[in-house]
Amino acid sequence: MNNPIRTLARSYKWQVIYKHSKELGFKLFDNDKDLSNIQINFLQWLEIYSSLYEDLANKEKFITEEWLDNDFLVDIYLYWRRNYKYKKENEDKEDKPKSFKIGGLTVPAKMSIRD
Amino acid sequence: MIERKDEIKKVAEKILENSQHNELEDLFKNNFKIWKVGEINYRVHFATHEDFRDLDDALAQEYTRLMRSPNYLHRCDWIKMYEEKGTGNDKYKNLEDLDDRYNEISRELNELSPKIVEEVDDVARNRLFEGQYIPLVDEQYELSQLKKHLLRYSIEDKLNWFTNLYGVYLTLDIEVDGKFQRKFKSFDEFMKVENSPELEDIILTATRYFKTLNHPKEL
Repeated sequence: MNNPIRTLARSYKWQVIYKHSKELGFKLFDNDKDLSNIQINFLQWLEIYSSLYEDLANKEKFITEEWLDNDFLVDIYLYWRRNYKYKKENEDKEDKPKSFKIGGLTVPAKMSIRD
Repeated sequence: MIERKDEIKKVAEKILENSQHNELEDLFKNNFKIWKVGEINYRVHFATHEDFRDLDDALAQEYTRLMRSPNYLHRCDWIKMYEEKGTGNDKYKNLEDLDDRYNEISRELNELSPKIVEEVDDVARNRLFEGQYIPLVDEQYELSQLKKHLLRYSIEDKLNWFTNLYGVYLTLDIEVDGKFQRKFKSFDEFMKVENSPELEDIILTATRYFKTLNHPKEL
């Protein structure tokens, strides 16, 4: 069974409220300070699901709307995203030859001026 | 006939889910929950700094009481005791075995995750998810329940239980003449509700709201 806080956080209603609260600056809760644990937890899930909907909009390979409805599958995807996708992207970036230009000359990033 | 029953069950589940969601929305929008019993309004509010101070004092007293009692041990002492005398469980003779299996499952779940995500064939992915992942999650849940059960008389667990109980006492209010005030004048009065089914019911509801406000991850 899905966690009801997560179900609410991924709902269309709360995602729209969350998105526009950031843009238009209106409040999600009645209180401004002393957030309760449930409010902090809810905010965390709003942000996580917002990022997942972005992945969906960006047509990320492995995420579907069906996955978003299942807490376990979301956990699996989040684990993969954190430990494999981002790691692989970082490795790819490191593998690419980095260079910069000085006065029309392209200099490899690892080469120092003295070389 | 079966289809109709299934349909009714689905509708009932949906209603329950919606009422749970409304209850939750109320709680996190306002940080309190008001509900009516007969003509009387009750409220559970988010614990204030003053409540926390009271709770801290009460916890110190309870901790001292538990430390003096020969019936309660710390978690680490229970763990040692299970090492010597066993847990009575055939599969897990002591808590270290149980923890080892729990951690092993975590590793297995982590290894399965990328395979499930990257599997392009739906049938194969479902086999990994339903056939391997979910049974491991279930086993891990059972292990955590077993551990909780084995450590239920530890001082730490008793203090957690006391925190919830005292927290409900501090945050449960009743509306009198349009103003909310603490329902019970003292913790002793709160503890004497055993003979009133109606009050017990109110406390059970209040406990649910208190725990949701303070321990949402357990939902």
